[in-house]
Amino acid sequence: MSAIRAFLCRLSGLFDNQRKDRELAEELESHLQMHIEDNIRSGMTPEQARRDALIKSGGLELAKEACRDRSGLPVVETVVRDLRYAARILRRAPGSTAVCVLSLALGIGATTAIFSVQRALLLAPLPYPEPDRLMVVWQGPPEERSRQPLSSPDYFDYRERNRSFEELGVQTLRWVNLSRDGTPERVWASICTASFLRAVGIEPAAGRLFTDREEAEKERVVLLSYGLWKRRFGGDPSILGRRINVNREVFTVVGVMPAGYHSPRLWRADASPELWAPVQLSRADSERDSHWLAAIGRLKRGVSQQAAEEDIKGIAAALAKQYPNSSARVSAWLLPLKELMVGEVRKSVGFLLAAVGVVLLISCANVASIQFARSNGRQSEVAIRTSLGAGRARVIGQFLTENLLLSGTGGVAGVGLAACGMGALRSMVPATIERASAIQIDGWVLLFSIGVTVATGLLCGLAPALSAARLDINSVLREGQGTLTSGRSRARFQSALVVTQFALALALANGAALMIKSYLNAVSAPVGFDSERVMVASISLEGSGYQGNIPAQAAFWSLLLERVRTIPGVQEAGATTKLPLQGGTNGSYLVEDEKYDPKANRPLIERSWVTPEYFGSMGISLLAGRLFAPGSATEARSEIVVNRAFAQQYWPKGNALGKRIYPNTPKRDWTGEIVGMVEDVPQWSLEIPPLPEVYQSLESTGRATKHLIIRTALPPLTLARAVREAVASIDPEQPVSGIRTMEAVFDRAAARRRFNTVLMEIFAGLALMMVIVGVYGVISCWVAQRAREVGIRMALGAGRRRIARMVVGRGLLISVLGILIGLGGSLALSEIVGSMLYGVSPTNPVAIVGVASLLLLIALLGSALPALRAASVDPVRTLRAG
Amino acid sequence: MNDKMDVWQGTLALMVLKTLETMGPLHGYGIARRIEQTSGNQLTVLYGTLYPTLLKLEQEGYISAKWGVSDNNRRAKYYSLTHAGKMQLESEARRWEQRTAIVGRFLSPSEEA
Repeated sequence: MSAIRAFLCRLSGLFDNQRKDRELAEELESHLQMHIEDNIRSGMTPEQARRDALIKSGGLELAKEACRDRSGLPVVETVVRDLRYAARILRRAPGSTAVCVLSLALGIGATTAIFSVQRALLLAPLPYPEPDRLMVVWQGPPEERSRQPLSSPDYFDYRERNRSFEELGVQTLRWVNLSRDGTPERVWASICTASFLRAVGIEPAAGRLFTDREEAEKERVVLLSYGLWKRRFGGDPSILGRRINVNREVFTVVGVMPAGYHSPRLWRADASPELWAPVQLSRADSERDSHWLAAIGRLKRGVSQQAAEEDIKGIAAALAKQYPNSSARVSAWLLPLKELMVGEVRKSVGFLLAAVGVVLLISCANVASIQFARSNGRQSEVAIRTSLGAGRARVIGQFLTENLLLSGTGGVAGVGLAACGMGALRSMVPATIERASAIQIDGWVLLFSIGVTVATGLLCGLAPALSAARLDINSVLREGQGTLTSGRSRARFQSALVVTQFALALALANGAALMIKSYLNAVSAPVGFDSERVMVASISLEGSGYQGNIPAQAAFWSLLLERVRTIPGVQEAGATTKLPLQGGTNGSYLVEDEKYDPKANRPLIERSWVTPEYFGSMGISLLAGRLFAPGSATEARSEIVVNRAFAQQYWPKGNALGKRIYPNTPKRDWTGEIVGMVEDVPQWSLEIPPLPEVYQSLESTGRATKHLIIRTALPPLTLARAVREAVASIDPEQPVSGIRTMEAVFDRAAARRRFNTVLMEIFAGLALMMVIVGVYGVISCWVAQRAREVGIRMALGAGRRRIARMVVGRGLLISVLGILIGLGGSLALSEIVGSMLYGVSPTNPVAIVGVASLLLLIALLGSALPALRAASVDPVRTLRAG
Repeated sequence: MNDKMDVWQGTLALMVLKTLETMGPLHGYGIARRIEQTSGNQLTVLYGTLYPTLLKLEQEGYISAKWGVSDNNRRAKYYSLTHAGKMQLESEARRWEQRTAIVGRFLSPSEEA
């Protein structure tokens, strides 16, 4: 206790020194006077009394010094003194100090920003209690870990037979329509089991979760998100028990989830549910091959993922035996929820972090080089300090303090820069990435930046500090200047730094060039549709009257399309159940005389239901045959259109037209006749090549959600209002949502790659800027050191041009060395880089040659100014000065 | 050469505390004089050891200081024992006695041997 108290006193003693000193002096003075008075009283002369008192006291100054050490913390005072001195030194050369601080600020700022992304997306725990126990259960063929959802009876079997999960639940995500309490609105809903909510483990902020009983008895109860409660119901305090309209049916609100709660998105990364309602499940075995439920389980304490997976696989194997027709090829596996939510992001964030680390290293090299050059100018200062008794440790300490001050300033500026860039960064993160809004500079990020700053300071300061400490005092003091040989070795060190910079910059810029090329490849690859001037609107026909009522839905859509076509500016209007690049539905078919076989591994075929006008509206060309005729579909028979990939899959050489396909079930209760073939359109992303697809007539599906596609001559979004009015004129309770251009859909698909690419561009740009500074610095130093040599050469008749060539040659030599080393490094890393690329080889010669030429140009630029300076040397003056 | 003993640091603190306990509030000069007298003039208290010790005790909270006026109308800093100081004095004194007793047992002619 008392020791802590004393430490705090001493810490505070660091301030207000002067008052303390004055008090001490006064106290000692009064002590002395009292002593003298006593002495006089005992009979000494005033002279004698004073002498005696001074001798006995043992030295006033010594006492003051001892007290001063005791009243403060001498180490801290040394540091403060060093800091003051360092600040003075740095201020004396504002130009190079500014370059150092700017380099470090950019390096540290970029590192901080990317670390904050890593922290928010990867390192921070998921916002659920004990998130490490949450596992996603996927089904799939035994030999692959594919992410297929569960069927309803399978879920019951897994839930009841497993010994590993405390709770296991399932959900599916659906659009639902809200009406009556305001304008009709379409929101994402998590249709889930009560066990799903319990497995996730978040309690509602108000009310309660729904129960197993309510789920089993199909009660119409619902939980609202905090946002929906505030937005649509004005934060109604009596919301619990209120009846609201969901899909035109009355549901009772039983709870409101906490603000900021995000339901785990297992299935659609872009859906964020605002409503939770019980799912209606069936145990009927006929449902076993209908996979539509995403499952999440909370492991019992102490059960490992592996043990749980074996458990669940065992159950799947038993089911496969029991129900060979539906489950012969169905196994199950576990994926930690965290992996699901961040797995995909991990690689690209790691890549960016590595890139930004390279930027930081380049900036360190700049600072080290500048500081090193500067320390050389201070040899005599160091020599004098050493000869006056400064120990080696003090000299090193002084240099390190100076560099820490520098990196500290850079660090503060860098964190400031990163903080300013946060908004831009957040908005650049693709919306499909979970928790992008959590990116911020929090305590951990700050701690990380401080660590980086200190490490940077030590790294940059080490070389100058050690070389200063090794200084041979005698030779410096005798000669007044560093000798020529030590100058040479200094130049070698600096050149080595710049060579390193070139090598790192080449690797980085090459990576950036490849990323840009990949991005361009991804966005310029033919997509088979024309996104220009196309508007999309999504409409879900839900609730009584529509649900399962195919004729009612068909009537709505044909009326809507009819009315939309009369809107001025509409050139063509069609409808589809799914948009390109947005994923969708797939299944398998039997083609021609293929026989049903539950053990066969049939290829997955994408499935769409469209109106014939869809192809024209979306700009998808018909390659062969014709489109299906309206009204041609019956329950047992439809005309269908396939894409090129489908035709190639089954009839690589022949003709697909006129061929027949059947559902992959024991009974052939439906026949599809291929009447046309259309161009491929990528279904899942820009980078997954188009899969085989079957288009059926929109009239034959009861799927609730359909998209209206309008091709127009006007700016597409100007039609939004007219479209809403057209929908309202048919059904005033029907919401329209997702009004956007097809270009926005496309942009969204490219967002992730664009994010990585833009950041890589920024980093490479920063790196190149720093390399210019680096090469300029080292060549300038080199020229300065050789002023005398240049003078002699000129005096001996060398032309200015020749001198300039010599200097530029030096710059090019350094850059070529660096480029060669960087090439080696790039080749060594090509495999890692390759995994980030699309449609371009990691050793693409065009990129490498381009980047290498760019770096040579930079070397030229950086050495041009010093070359001019060298060429304008006045030989007479330099020779005289030397 | 001075044949008087210089006071060593650790014990000076104890002496200061004891002095303040018996004498009440006292200035630095008074403390020094008192310690010298108590030691039968065998000890000399130097500024360089006394004042750092006073500062340390003050920082540790065992004594407190206040400016006052001496008998001869001179401004002086008066030190007095705090409550914590009293406790510290007791425990230090006990420790000191134990320590000297142990060392004494080694140095005095052994009785059992």
